[in-house]
Amino acid sequence: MNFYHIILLIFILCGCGSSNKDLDYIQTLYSDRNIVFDDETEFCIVLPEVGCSGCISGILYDVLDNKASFSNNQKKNLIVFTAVNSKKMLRRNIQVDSLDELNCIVDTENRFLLDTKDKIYPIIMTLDNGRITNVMIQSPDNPEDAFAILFDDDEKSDSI
Amino acid sequence: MNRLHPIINSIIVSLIVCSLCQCSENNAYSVQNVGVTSSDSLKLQCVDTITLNIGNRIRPIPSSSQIIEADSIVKYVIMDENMLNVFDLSNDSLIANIDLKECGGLSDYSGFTFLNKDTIFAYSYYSKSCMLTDTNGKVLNSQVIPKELIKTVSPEALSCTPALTFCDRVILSGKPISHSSVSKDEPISLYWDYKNHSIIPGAAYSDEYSKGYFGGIYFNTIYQCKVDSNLITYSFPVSNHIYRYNTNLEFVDSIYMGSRYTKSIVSKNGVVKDFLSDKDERLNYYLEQDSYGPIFYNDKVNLYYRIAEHPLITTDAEKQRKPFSIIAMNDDGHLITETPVLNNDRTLITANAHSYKDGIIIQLESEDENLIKFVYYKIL
Repeated sequence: MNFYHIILLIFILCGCGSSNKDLDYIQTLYSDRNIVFDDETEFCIVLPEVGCSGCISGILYDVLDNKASFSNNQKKNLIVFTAVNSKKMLRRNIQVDSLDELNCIVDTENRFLLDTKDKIYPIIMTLDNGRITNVMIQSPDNPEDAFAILFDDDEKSDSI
Repeated sequence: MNRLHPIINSIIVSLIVCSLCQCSENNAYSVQNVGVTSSDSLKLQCVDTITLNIGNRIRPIPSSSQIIEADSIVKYVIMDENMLNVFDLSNDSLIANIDLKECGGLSDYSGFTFLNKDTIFAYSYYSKSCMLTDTNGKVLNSQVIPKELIKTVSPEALSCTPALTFCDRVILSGKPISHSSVSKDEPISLYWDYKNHSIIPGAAYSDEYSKGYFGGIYFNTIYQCKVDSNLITYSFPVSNHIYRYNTNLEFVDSIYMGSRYTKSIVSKNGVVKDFLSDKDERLNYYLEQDSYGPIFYNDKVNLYYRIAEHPLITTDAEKQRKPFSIIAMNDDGHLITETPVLNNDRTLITANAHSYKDGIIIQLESEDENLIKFVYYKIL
């Protein structure tokens, strides 16, 4: 193993440490706030209305592209809208006449909102029997497409 | 001679550069309020509330809108989704829509101002384009702000920082996010001479901005209003004075228009890089201090109105709107009143306020998002 391999391994280990830290933090935060997910929920997006506009609009496009997967006749995929300033603008951005068309929670008390600097970014998570199993925070520091990775993984597991 | 591995060299150089950046700190500078403020606090009164039904599509808090008073009709025009929606404010009715799709994307920080009843100025923040259109939305004239100029003057055209129109030019103002104090030579505005197809920068911040760093964002907002065919006035968030310039963006004079509640405004000290990377710290630095906001000139009564904002200590869950008072002053620089707004102050939106009849109107947040409400203040 040469010098470059060592540097690459250090970056990978730092990255893994970071996402485990996010998972532990969010599991603890939501548990402290008595947030309970339906056992049938396998994929969840927590989307602040106010925050990093680039990151939020990116996830919004993903949701619009897959809107049928978030409809109110299923429980597997959930959206939580938090830091909501305007329900009217939310309906307009999501392109629905009523938010009841979606399987969503409008978090008017900001219970799902993080209490760190990351609160301005969307959170993408997977769940198993009500327990959060994986978390990715979609920020400019994270070059990966969190939605594509976790949503696709979720869809693929259904097809096996 | 032994040479270090190139990677190690790069790391050492990076560490040295980072250390030098960390050493980039600002020392605090305090803007003291030493003027004579108004002693009256009662003359400005809320006399009416106006309600407008905007329907289920238009955004409930417009970022770019305009009041037009002409021929005994008061129109309220809202720009939203590339459309100008023209309402009769007196009759609470929508009277026209003007499709601006020919202007391209008019995203956040874009705006418009009517030159006259037939011609509209539109500004696209995204493409940095200045345009004139007719009331059919047809683009008659356009020019893009040169890229070199955008590095120092990055205009916005919102309700509280409107584009100002004159018979031969439009004046726009705005600055990109700043990482340091601003030199007195740096322009803050530009005028678009649409007949001669030229864009000329000019005007400058008040002296305080060259003596201290005020966070580069909220305190750097440039509020402006039109006074007459040859005069504009600036209100800068850290300055107790207002500044008047001609339409060539040349300095005319400054007049004291400070708040009795403002003792001092302190610049930001510390490491700029850390500060700018922390959104909460940037916002709290602004919320926890006094500052000045939008300015209006009402030519029916020849009065200036200036919003003075005061510190807000808030939790995250609360609305981040500062308490404020309204200062009124006549053309001669005589301060008539400074009235603190005590009712509904957290639901009043000073970013959507306009000169109206003999006073000013300020949007009042409404639970029903299909309604826009205004409260009308005037001197009694």
